[in-house]
Amino acid sequence: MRILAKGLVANNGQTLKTTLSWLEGKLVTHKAYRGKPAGTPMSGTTIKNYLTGFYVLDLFKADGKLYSETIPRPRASVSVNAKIEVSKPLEIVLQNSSVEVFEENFTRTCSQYSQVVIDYKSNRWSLQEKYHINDNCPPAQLKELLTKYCEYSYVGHPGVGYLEIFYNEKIQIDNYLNLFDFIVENYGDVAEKSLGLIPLANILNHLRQVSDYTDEDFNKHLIQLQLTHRIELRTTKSQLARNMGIDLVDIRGVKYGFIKILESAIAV
Amino acid sequence: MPYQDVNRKPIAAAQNPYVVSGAAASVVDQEYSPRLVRTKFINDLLDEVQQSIKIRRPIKLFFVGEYGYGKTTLLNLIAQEFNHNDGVCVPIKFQEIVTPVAASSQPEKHFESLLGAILLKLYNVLLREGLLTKSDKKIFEKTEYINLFDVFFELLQHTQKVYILIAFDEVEALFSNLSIEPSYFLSFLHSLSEKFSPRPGWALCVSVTEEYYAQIISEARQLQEARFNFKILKSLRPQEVKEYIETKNSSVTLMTDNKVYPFEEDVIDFVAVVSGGIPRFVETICQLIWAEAELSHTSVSLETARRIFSNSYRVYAEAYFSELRSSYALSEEAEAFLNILFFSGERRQSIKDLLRWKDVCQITYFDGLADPQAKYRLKKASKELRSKHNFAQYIDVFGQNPYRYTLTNLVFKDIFKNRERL
Repeated sequence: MRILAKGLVANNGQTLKTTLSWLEGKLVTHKAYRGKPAGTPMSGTTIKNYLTGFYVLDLFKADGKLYSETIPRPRASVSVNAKIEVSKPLEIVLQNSSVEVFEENFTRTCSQYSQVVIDYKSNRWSLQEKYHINDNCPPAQLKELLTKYCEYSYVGHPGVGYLEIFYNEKIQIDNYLNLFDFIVENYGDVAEKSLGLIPLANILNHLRQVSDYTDEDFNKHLIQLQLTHRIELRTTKSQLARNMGIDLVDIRGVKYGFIKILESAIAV
Repeated sequence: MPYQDVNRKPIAAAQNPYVVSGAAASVVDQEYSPRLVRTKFINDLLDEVQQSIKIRRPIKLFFVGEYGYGKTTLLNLIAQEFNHNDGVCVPIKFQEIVTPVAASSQPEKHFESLLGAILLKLYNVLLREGLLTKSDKKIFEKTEYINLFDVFFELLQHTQKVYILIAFDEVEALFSNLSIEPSYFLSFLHSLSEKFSPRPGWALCVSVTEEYYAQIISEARQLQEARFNFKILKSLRPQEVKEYIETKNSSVTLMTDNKVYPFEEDVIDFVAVVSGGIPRFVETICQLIWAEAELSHTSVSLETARRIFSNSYRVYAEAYFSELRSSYALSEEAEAFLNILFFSGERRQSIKDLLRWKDVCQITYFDGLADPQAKYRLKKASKELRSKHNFAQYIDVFGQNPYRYTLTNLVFKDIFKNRERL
């Protein structure tokens, strides 16, 4: 995030294209994805998607073609030839060097200056007033309400995953029982149809989007669930995972493809 | 002193009714063990199959179950039914086919090679059974012109048999070794089953592990072809484990009044929990207990069974307890406590009892530790474990002054499972 902000500030007044070429090669992926190991340089498209996110958050202006409507959901799209103008708050945020401080100030800046975030907050507030939605309203329901009453065409974010995280309240998972509840709530139906088996990577990816859960905690809690006889972890060969189109999750050196829920409510 | 049968004759070591690797393990075309235990599920299924054969109702079965649940055994039994009715069984065990297929072709050609291999296997089996002659090979020459399923049909037609069983065993091997998507294989099965529809005596049985169940079900719906009957294999209930052991043991001892002999009653519970009711694991565990106790005991008590188990699985226990420690944030001494308790293999152990094992157990934690020190630490550990929330599922505590400890059967089960993972 900080490097992206740096790229924008360094190329203030130039086109988006120059910003992209400035950034290319400086960013690498954090996690293994689609067969590429972590640490692979990010592609131009990925970087552009991130930058579009910055645009939507009003962190810079562009004078080129802006929104392009695509079906099924509207996506923000900034032309690479658009000239960019970085907002002052972003420049100020960048002045501090430590990453943690940057992240914190960045989040604050977004909630203060970004129209989308301000709108979202006020809409949420009004929903809460009118329809008595409590704090831990499930994200899916919230989305539905926003679409219905506040004319959102799509809640979450065009293209960029991290903004979706920004929009939704994060789920707190601080022990293994919470994790189990999360799994049963979201994947119970799947499990019922498949003898209790759920692809592990699906759960992990889902969690990464809606919470600040670290992989380390995830692994730890899974092992605890296994030790307390609530789930079973199933090892899976990589060829099999490829054929079935699922990803494997490495936990303490063992590659697992599925978990099996042992709870009698689910077990078939 | 060896075990004795009903006539007080000693039972020879070779008469151990259990097999290390499980009863069936082997392929459909091998002789099945006469000592096979028939559960209610098996009997019901065989009745169904016999009935179907009698009235010529098509048999299309899909067995879904994990490793060791008895899928191959079932295929064996069904194959027997076919043989008894002047039929023939063509067992296609994919574990045997995948290696040559993988070696002989590019990943994108795997599916084609596989079909070829299945066809060849079918031909070879029928040739060996004397149902085809070398001259029938000319059917293959036409493969370029006619549909593959026609070749299948032709070959089977040439046998002049009314009852034919095609048993596809270990289907999961395909997906875990070759680049074949489950949907490809399923469409193949569906086409084959369509092709068979004019011949109700020709049966298809398939066995596969649980992972594919969801996918198979959804594909089956997609193709609107729910003609396969799914049989989901479950683990045995404790009562069934008991009957299983009784049948096996009494087949050797010929005893009618005490069928579980040479096992004592509470050994059965132990086996039922530790094996999780999975037939193959029941076999593995009973084999071990039977064989190890034979030399020095007239019968096997729970103590003996636990000790035998402790001796064989110590390595896995260490790994398991260290996992338990990191998950429950236990102290080092608590881990050592659990290890030494497992090592003892005994029940209701006080700290004093455990200290006896300190010097022989070879647990590094106790190296060079004087008795009073060890005693102090074990005491501390036991206090910690007693106060640990939710820990009752791992350890039973008895009495007071002194407290006595027993590891639960569940711990033994976990350790046994750990053996699979490591």
